[in-house]
Amino acid sequence: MDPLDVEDVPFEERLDDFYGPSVSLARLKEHPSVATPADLLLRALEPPPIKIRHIPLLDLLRPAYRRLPSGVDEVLGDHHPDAVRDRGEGQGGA
Amino acid sequence: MVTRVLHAIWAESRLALWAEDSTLPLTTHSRADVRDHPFALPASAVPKLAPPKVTAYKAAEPAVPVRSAVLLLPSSGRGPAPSPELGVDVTVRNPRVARWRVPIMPYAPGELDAIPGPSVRYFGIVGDFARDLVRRGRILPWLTEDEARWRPVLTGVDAARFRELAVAMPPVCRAVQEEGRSSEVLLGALTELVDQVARRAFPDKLIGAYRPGRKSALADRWLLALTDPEPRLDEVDEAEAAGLRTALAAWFEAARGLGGPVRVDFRLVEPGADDKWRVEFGLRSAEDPDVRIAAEDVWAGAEFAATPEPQKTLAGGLRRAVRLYPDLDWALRVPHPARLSMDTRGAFAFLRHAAPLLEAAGYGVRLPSWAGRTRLGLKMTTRSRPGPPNLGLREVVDFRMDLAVGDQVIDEAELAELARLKVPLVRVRGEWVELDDRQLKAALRAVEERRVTELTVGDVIREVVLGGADELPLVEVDADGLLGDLLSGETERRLRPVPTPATLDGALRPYQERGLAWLGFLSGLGLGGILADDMGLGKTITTLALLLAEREDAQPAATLLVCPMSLINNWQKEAARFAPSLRLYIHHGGARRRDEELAATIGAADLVITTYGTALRDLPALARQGWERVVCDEAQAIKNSAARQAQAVRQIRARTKLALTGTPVENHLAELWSIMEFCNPGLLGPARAFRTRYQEPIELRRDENAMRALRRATGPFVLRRLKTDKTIISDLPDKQEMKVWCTLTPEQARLYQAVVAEMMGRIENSDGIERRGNVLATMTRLKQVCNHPAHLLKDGSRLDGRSGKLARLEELAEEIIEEGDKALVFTQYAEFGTMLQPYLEARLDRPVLWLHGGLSKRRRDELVERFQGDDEPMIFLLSLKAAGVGLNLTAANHVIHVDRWWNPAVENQATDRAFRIGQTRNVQVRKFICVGTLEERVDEMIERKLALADSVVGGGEDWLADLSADQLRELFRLSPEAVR
Repeated sequence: MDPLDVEDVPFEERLDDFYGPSVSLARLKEHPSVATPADLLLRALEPPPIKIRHIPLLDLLRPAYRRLPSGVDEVLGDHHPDAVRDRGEGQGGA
Repeated sequence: MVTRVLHAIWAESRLALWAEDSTLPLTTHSRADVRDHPFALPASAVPKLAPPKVTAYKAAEPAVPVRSAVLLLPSSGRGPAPSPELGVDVTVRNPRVARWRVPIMPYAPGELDAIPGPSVRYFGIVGDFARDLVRRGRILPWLTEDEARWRPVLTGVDAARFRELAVAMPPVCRAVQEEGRSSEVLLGALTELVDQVARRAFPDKLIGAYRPGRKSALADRWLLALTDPEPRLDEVDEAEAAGLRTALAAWFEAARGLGGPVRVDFRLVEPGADDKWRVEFGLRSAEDPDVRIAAEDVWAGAEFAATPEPQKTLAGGLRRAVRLYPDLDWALRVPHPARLSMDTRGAFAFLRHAAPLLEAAGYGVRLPSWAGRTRLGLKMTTRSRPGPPNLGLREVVDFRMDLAVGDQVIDEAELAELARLKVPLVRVRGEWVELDDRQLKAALRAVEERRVTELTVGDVIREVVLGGADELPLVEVDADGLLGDLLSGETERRLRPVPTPATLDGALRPYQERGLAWLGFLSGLGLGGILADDMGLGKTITTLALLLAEREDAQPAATLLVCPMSLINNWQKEAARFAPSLRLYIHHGGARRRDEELAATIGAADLVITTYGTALRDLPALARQGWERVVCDEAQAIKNSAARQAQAVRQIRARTKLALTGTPVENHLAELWSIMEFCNPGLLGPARAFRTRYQEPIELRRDENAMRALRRATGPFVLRRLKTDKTIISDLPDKQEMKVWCTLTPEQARLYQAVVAEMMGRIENSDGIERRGNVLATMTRLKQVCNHPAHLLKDGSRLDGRSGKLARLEELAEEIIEEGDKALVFTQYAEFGTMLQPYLEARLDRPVLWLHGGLSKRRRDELVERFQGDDEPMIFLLSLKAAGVGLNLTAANHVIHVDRWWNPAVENQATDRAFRIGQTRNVQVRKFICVGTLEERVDEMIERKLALADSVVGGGEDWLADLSADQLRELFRLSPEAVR
């Protein structure tokens, strides 16, 4: 069995909430991230027999993987709580 | 203003959007098998969208032509059922699935002025997951037919997360052409999002300045395309591509194999008589870590249910693990390795370095129970000196700092001996302790630096807040006297309660008297505090009592209270009710005082109330005054320390500060720092240090030591009582009724006055039944205005920021949800409920159920069952007419009447849906009233009963039709305080 497969509820049983998720989005968001070194996957696997200009692919990827956390933050913006925009006053339109 | 709702779908093997438009007809006469969706945003509107910006590589594509997709949607015979977010008051009874063609556009949710439907927000969460996978490097490159792409590696917790997201997927996401499979749609979408993120997060080139040409080896060009905006490769030689694909596929399969049902297991065992540590090997089930088999048994031929070939699994796993734990190679030099023996240094290296890596990579790791727990720390002892107590922060106390290992205190000589041994795992009085070089140095430094024998109370508090150092945290504090009270974190319970001030027009409950004592205690020391009691426990009355108490035998300067605009009227009303002797000045609005006049007014006031916005605008003038205290109500408004209004209130100096918030601040650490920085500037140190010391360990690793240290550091300054505390429950009435005073926005006020002007003319020019009808119509329209302009106008316009009531409802709903509670929200208008439901659900991201007369009995039962049975915090919107009687909704402990029928019996019946047999908690009931409008006046009339018999009032609103024109004019009049 595919470990990613799930059993879907037929449409006929979801007609009353067809546009909504079956779990509230807030609950779905509650998912702590696990802190692991970004090159761990590469380290844990036998390297593939692929070379680029005689350099093993793994040797090219590992330093780049290590920089991924900062790369994601730089490109897509850090979501640190301090960066959250101010909510303003209680009655925005007043 | 047009309401459009965006929906996200998986169409043509990529993410796409389509939109509903409420201005279009909801039905069609077509009877075709596949019909054009009558209110889908038409193709002619789609090209007006800006080009998608989702990814660099997509932007490089030629403009995407408008396409269409056929969707399976719930429908009536004449049209699709509108999504709830569209806010159209249409109920489709017995919907069935039908096919509708909709124009689709590229996935760029921010590009269209439309409400993002739940499916769009759902894919936002999928996007967060994609980003997290890339950040953690859980991706591998691959080669499709002719494109260089990244794809996620989903094993272990990531596979579980994937399944969680797949199960939650809104059906509409997978409704293209046929009932799609959610796991397939999600995998496609996630792969697309992962590729987008990775392509941008990696450096431009993975191999220096090398730029392969068109004739270069495929692998060279493939590598370049992995980070290039254009993933496509030209002139792919199939033989070359097949070789590359095979190697990449094997790599990917090996990665997926790391998350299989069986894990190779490593167990660290303490040394026996031979003084040798051992890492013992074995296999264990991924599902149940207790199902384990030792390597010896595997080699002896024992079976293991989770794998048909245990020996092969063990051998392969051990071989792969060498890459993360190179010392393991020593053990693998024998044919059937079962363990690796090592000295103390080796054991320490396994503990600190190899074990976390192996565990993160999916191997089983079992360590002794003491491992990972920082056992070495500082213990502080202070003793007060004889003499007059309560000298405040300058009082000198005897001080001593010791080193603690677990529950033991060790002296300097023992520490020196540990340093001499230079081994990172030592046994101290029978307990193993991890003690690396950094900690040893920190311990020696701490002893050196803290040889003093006395400190002031202020310095001791700073030591506690500092919490030692990263390597050597403060783990225990033993203090007596006033300092002991303060640092105990239970000051409120240790202090003698302050009796209700004589000038308070009301009685404090026992826990409020304890709160008052705590506020007075901190204030006396010149310290700021955060009163973070659960909502409904009386933070307002306790604060007012503090102001009254300190005026019993002194005349301190005024207190400045800063609050959101939506709360000004509440403060004004509560102060007038409970503390009429306080001289109050509202500093807000165009007519507010300035310059000398302001100074004189403040000089003659006890309490000055202003908003965060006004505080920011009038900062120079307000900062010049001499304040006794600055209070920030709804202090989450200053949670962002960099925001201008947070900086503004911090700049207003006062002898002491107080923050009021119902939000559990311990769950929001950046917010806690910002609020504490307002209350006691500098006490928690710089934000960066706070993040390193507390926020990151707690938020990223749930570090219990850091949590304990933070509680110790902030405990003295935060008072939070829960309404579920046993001692609080006994103080509270079973049902608390409160009025919530709301203001109108300027738009609401204009509409209100226009309705009054128009309808009074009609009333005066009519009589009999017609007049009666006009009066009741006026009442209805004015109540609609008080609810929301869009409720009166029925134009499908946006809801955000246009109604004081809605703003207050949002704030309350957020607090209720944050506290983990459930609420019933009653309205007498079904159309208002239909507007509120999708709006609140989108704001809260929590279920907002909506029960009205248009639902079938089956659907009503389902909603009630979900509300009662699901433990998730949620809101239940109910039509007063459809749900006022009969239902059992005891899962709610909050009831809100957002508009009023002015019939106490009907309202009480509705309230009793929650407040009835089966209710085990105190119920808080809130009735919304717009101040300065007919809502306030009718409420007053009912309260005072104004010579009207109960039976008349009990009849609803009909009696109002008999009032004279002058009485009606007075009733409908809009007072200046209605608008803030």
